[in-house]
Amino acid sequence: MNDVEYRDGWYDWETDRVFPFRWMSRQARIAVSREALSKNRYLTFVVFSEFADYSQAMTMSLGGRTLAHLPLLYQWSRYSVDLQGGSTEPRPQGPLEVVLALNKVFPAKYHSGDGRELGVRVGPFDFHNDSVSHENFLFFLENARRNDLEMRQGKTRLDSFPLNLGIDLYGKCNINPPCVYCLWDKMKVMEGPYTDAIVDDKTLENYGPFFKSARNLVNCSFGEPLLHPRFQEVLELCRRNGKFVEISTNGQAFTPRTIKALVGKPVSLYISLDAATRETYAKIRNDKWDSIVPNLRLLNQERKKAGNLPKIFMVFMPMRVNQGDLEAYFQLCREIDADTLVLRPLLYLFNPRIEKDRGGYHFNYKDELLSRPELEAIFVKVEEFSKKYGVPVANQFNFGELTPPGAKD
Amino acid sequence: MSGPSPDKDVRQETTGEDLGYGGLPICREPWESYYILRRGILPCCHGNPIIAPMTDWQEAWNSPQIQEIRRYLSKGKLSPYCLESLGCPIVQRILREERLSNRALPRRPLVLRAVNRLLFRVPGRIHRAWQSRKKRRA
Repeated sequence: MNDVEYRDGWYDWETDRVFPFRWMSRQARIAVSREALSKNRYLTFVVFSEFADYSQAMTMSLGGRTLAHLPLLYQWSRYSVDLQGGSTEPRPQGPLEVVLALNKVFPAKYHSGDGRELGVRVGPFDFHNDSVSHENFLFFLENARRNDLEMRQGKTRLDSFPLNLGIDLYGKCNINPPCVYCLWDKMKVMEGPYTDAIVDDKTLENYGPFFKSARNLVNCSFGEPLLHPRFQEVLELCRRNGKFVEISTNGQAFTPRTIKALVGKPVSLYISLDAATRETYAKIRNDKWDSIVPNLRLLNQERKKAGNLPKIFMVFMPMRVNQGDLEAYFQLCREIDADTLVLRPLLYLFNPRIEKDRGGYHFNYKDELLSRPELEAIFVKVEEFSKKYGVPVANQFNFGELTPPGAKD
Repeated sequence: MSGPSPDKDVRQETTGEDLGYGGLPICREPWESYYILRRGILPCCHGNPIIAPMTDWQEAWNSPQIQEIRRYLSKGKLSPYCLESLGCPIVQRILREERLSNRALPRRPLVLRAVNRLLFRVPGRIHRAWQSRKKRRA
């Protein structure tokens, strides 16, 4: 048998923007092979809960003995369960059956017409032997629940730590002069001596509870993170600890080294092109357009061998300069099998006074900021193109809003 | 058995139809997120200005500035800091809704905000620090 055999309580495989998954009913069973158990102590998997208040919980048991009681985090999160569960008794021969039971299911009123009893989405099961990572997971889970309670209680001084940790991996960039809308000069003045500070895997570990508590690590560098000399080590640390990583890149640093570091890692890679033609790209960045698309094809080819990771999110910031490229950008996303097109707002600045001449175009930041009616018209077009080209869209203009219940994309 | 044991704070009903979206502040970022960046510490990705230098990441998490932001948001209001962070889509959305519903905003007069910006937001920072100190003493 495979390491994990699905028994009753599971529906067919589906996929969303992040993970392949199977909906689980209120109760489900899996059988774990003896071979897998002899080599590994911990079971690890991702779960997506629709409940935002930790009131949905999963109990896992083996032979009538409870292994874990897991309050479930809203949306995707990684879990780790000790299959020994404190027992030192010898196990019976043959595969062992693990029962997963939920205290409540996703209410039918949110998926009317479906007809199935849906509990949670569960991603593929895997195993590990890293007791430190498991202890870190227990700390993470307890903290996440405390953080939610403190927020709902309106506490201002927190005992808990954040679930999303913004990090700044690298302070240097390979695009010089910087992209026309980039606040590079101002940011480098603000960074001062910290521009050259080393932020690597050791730094992240030194963040202690801030690192252990994080579900997502979001890189917010004014710099190109793929140039980081310890990029592979940073991503490996995050993978080992079940962290989801969000990285924005300009797409000009894909090399065999960076592609190798990225494939198979739980990374959401936000690739900021904002253009679908050589001409528009030259107006925003530089003349290196011709190398971008072949590298994206290569990345896509490699990630297909590694569980379709990293996830490719293609960023498009609607501006006056690139308004004509929208449909072609959808076509590009389809060509390279992007998971999602991300619509991201150009940062609103009060009286920006940023003007640059690039690629035969005069870029005036103030004029590039589109008005609300212009943006609304773009949202309509985006919806239309999303259906036409089968490319899901994440609209970051809706930042802070909760996803509609049951939404896959 | 691993994982936290069930406690009374977490609802355990088996037929609940409430997805728990209620009872949340208007923005969850200063509880759920924290940015340790080279340019400084930020309570959210749209935050402006920085609240502490990069190296003060341990202390800044519960600093008076962040606590003030949490206090406002938990009461359903945007804090003065949020109102300085005009790049934030949540702030823009709320301001737009406020404009549409024609209600008065709990914000400083336009002239004061313009002066604050002209002076590199130093008066705002001094004002916030002074307010925090006053509250601590009280």
